[in-house]
Amino acid sequence: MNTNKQNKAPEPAKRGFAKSVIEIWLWGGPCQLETFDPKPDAPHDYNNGLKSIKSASGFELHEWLPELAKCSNLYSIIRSMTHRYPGHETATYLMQTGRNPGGGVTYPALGALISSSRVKGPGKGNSVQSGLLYEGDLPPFVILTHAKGRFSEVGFLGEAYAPLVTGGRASAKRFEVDGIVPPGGLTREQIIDRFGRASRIDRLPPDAEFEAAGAAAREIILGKAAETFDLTREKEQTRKRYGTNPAGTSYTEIGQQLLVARRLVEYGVPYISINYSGWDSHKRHFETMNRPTHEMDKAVSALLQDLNERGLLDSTIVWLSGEFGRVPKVDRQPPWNGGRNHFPRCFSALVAGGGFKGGQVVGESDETTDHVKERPVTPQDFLGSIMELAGVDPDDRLPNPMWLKEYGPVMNPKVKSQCGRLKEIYV
Amino acid sequence: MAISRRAFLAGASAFSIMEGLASAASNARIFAPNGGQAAEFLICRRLYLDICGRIPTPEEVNEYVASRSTRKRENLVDKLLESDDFADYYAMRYCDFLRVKSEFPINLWPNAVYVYHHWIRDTIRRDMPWNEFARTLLFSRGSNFRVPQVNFLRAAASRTPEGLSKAVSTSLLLEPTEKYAKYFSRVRWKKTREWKEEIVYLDDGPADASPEAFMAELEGPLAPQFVAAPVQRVHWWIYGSLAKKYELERWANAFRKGGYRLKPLLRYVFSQTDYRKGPGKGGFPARRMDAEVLDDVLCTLTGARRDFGSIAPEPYSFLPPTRKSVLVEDGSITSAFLILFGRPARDSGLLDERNNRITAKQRLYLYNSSKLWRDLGRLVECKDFAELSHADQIRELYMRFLSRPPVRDELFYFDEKNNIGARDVAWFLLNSREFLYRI
Repeated sequence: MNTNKQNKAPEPAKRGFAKSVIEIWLWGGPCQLETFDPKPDAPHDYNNGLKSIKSASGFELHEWLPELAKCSNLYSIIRSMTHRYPGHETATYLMQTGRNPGGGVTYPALGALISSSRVKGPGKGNSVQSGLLYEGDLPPFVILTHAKGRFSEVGFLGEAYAPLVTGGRASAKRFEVDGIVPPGGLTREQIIDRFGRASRIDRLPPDAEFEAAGAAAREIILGKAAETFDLTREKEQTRKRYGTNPAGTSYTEIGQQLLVARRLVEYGVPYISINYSGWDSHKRHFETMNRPTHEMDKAVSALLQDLNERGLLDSTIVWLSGEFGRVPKVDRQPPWNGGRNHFPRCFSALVAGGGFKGGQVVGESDETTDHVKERPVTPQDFLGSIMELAGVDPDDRLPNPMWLKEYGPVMNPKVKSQCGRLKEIYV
Repeated sequence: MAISRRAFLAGASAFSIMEGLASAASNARIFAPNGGQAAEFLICRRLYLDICGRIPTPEEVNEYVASRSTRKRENLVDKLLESDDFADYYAMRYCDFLRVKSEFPINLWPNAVYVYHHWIRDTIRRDMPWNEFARTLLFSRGSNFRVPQVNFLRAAASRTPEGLSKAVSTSLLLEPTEKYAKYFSRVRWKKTREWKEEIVYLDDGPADASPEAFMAELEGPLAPQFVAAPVQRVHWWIYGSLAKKYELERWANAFRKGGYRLKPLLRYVFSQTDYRKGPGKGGFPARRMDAEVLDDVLCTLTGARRDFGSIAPEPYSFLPPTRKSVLVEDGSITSAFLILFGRPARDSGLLDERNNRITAKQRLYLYNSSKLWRDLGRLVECKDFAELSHADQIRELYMRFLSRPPVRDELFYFDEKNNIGARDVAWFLLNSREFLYRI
């Protein structure tokens, strides 16, 4: 326990802590104007003549988000996210760890921090609340479907807390999860037969450690865990609800990934991260962003409603953001031809469930989203709020790997919070 | 990587030479046919794994088994100790205990890592005596970019006299202790105008508080421990445990006689009866291949590409996917595979930092990774392989994965009419302890 905090009486819990977190990471940096902070009255070079629509809760959303507009009571948006790193890697690191880049040490991302606090072991966080312990067969941190790369999500926590990165395609006929779902379309019987043959073929006398590791692996493959990734167990209507292509002939990848995420929440996995790439719209922004924004609208609104209908939203935090936003004024010069570059000074994010109120707007940008006008929210405030509602104290020390005991608390104390965590939208 | 037809033919000729083996049915007949002594193919595979960090090709097994020389084991050891693979593999092992990595908590920085690794590899190739190696590490002063060995006095998580004492004694005495702090109280580092260059120098002070004075201790009262450290390290690498007193004395004696050089010590170790024992209870201890070795073996067998990256936020460092994992200089550059299979972080330099124990996650990967499955597909779809008969495909896979031909019941088991494809056979072999372990 942090010695500085030993004398501080813990605040009584006013609410139950979220059991699971779903992170929807829009890799590349989505534009705030074409999502949660539209500016229909700004000059044409800012909005390209596109309009906004009024959500059910009264706030404006971009016209490309009609489905999210209908269920706005389920989530809140932040229009005043801000930091100063315009590079993908450095901004991602900051938005994932709450730490400024540099310093020679890689800190763990939010997913590794929260998931490591939920399991038994040397890296167990100090803030594990009773009832939040996770004992499922699947790892407590699952990434769909590809890791962010460029930096390790697990940081210095080490391999024991590394996420399961599924690989594969959730929208494929069969979602082949690396290590969990056997490749090659084998049936359960064929898999069992294979394992039997494998043990007969091995010529060496049995070894207890090797056998125990194999038995644990087979338990995951043949047990309930693998079924979590089997979307054929869902009704077609449900799968379609998360989004299809315009012709309705195939499911969208983001939609099916979010459906898997819901199934993982039902299984009990504490942290699920969806790395949804394709938002780095330097060129021809409006032509390229229309489709993914609509797909995201359909998929995220379906997820929130599905979780809500199943009574899971109160115990599940959903957050959506990229590493930054886009430059408000469209660059019409070659080679950009109507593109938007990186912009960390003012951008938007979404939070829902797990102790966050719905239907609220935090912060305000100016007429063009060039600047934050009111209530700046730093990545530290943002991630700290999620941690707090997930039952992990953001001011506590790290899980204390042997050589890092001098490091902590989790959120960088050197970054002066301007307005603090998002307490105004805590339930 | 495509497999050449020549390799197939060479592998095929090994079958006829090892014909006697093909009729063997019991495990004892396969692995230890001569009164508990390991089979020749097994000795050959062990030596390649222990000296070169790779498994032999079918041609190499063939050549060894076919040789009628009474000194064929000694000849093979001599040949392998002079190979590039040996220098690569033992440089990796040295870099583990010298903590060669660019980022936290060691912070050698990339340029220094590369020159230091190059120097270490060169000393192994030249077989520099242990005392000269230590003296060079302790006596050198200057730039971390221009005098590679000064990085030894930078490779500590804590650059206090106590921290340096701990780091140095771990590497040279196999004992992390702060009790030699006084010898490092004058070591200083200063920056230059070149980015991340650092000069190692000694501040003014008494002569008995210097790394040179510590070297005198190593060659004086600490000599038994100083000699035992590399011997115990070699025992750990080969047998996975520390040597008991009697064995340590014998090995240390051989080390002394060999002029404190690594290669004579290894020659001695590989000539011992213990090394020739068959696997199993009371025999040669089975150990899972090192992460880097397993990665390289799989990539060589299947032509797969690696995916290296640096976990540090800055600077981002990437290596070509064809680079051998054994040859990755920097402990800060790694891959998901290497992390999964227990490559050491090189933070402490302790022996048990490397974890060769098998885990459920590793077996999950080996059972079910779609990447591995694709890689195996590439192997069996290779034109030269696909043209072989089913039985020859089985023989070829056994030679490549296990360094031996299949015995009769194995061939029978995988007979064409049993409808088990070559890719499945490769999968079975890949998941066997006989393949994954050095036995």
